[in-house]
Amino acid sequence: MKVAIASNAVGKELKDCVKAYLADKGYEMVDLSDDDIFEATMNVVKAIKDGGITRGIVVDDYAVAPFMIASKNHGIVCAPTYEDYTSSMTRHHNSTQIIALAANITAPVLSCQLAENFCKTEYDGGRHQVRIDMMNRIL
Amino acid sequence: MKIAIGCDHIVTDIKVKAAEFLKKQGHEVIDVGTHDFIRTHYPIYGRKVGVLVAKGEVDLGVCICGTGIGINNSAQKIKGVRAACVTDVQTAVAAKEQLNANVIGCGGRVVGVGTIEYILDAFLKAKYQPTPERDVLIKKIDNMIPDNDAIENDHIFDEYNKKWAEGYYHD
Repeated sequence: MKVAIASNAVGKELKDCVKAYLADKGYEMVDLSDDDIFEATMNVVKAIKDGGITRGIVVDDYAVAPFMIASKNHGIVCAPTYEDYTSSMTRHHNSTQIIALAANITAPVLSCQLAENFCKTEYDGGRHQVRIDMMNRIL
Repeated sequence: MKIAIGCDHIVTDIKVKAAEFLKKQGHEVIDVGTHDFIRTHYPIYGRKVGVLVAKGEVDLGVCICGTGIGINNSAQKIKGVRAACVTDVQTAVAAKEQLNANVIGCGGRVVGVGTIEYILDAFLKAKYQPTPERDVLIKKIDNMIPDNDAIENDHIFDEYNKKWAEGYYHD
């Protein structure tokens, strides 16, 4: 599986750690980092929208800016992810394509696990799809 | 402060506790629902909170669902909303200080009521700390969504609610 990943300068160290971890697990990593968090996030959004890549990860200090930026794109669901439950449930229920990780909050070992949980979990579909369709109607 | 609060059917009891906490602090709280545990859809309530924030009818919004992700993405998709979905106080404060977040959210199945109270308290006390860079980023975020009917049209979900009632969406 191909995974787009990006960070700004603040998130670089954690991004490199997550990138190496996922590469070691067999994921093909595409690094789209940019010092500007807006550009870094939009690079990942574009990679998802262009097709071929189904998972994106953005790393900065608190995961707040990437969430705001990514979610304001039609068809994109982004999850700021700080713990295990959300890392997989947001795939099961929300069909989330992008997670945001926070270098100031979540340590590398946990961050790597969250990223792996997110990458390996599939969307449940079914009843959950009505909520996705509703979100796509808002924007 | 005037605060809108919304949730889905998974965390109604936790939302009620969060609302009571805010009222005790002297805030005026508008609870947009849901009000029971009957299965419903988080975008309905995320949009309602987002619309009140975007129209300036409230000062802030609070969105809670199971993980917080669904309802806060829904609010985020309203033009003018800047939502943060957090698990800790420090992130909530950063969201206000750096990006002037106007919606704060969390997962009712992720964090407990005590943490939610700490998050709300810290978020409400925090103040935006402007810098030219932060002003530019906020403007960029606010300009991402073109004008659309999502704020004014209260019927945008009608066709999906109808399809749901007809059994179109099933596991």
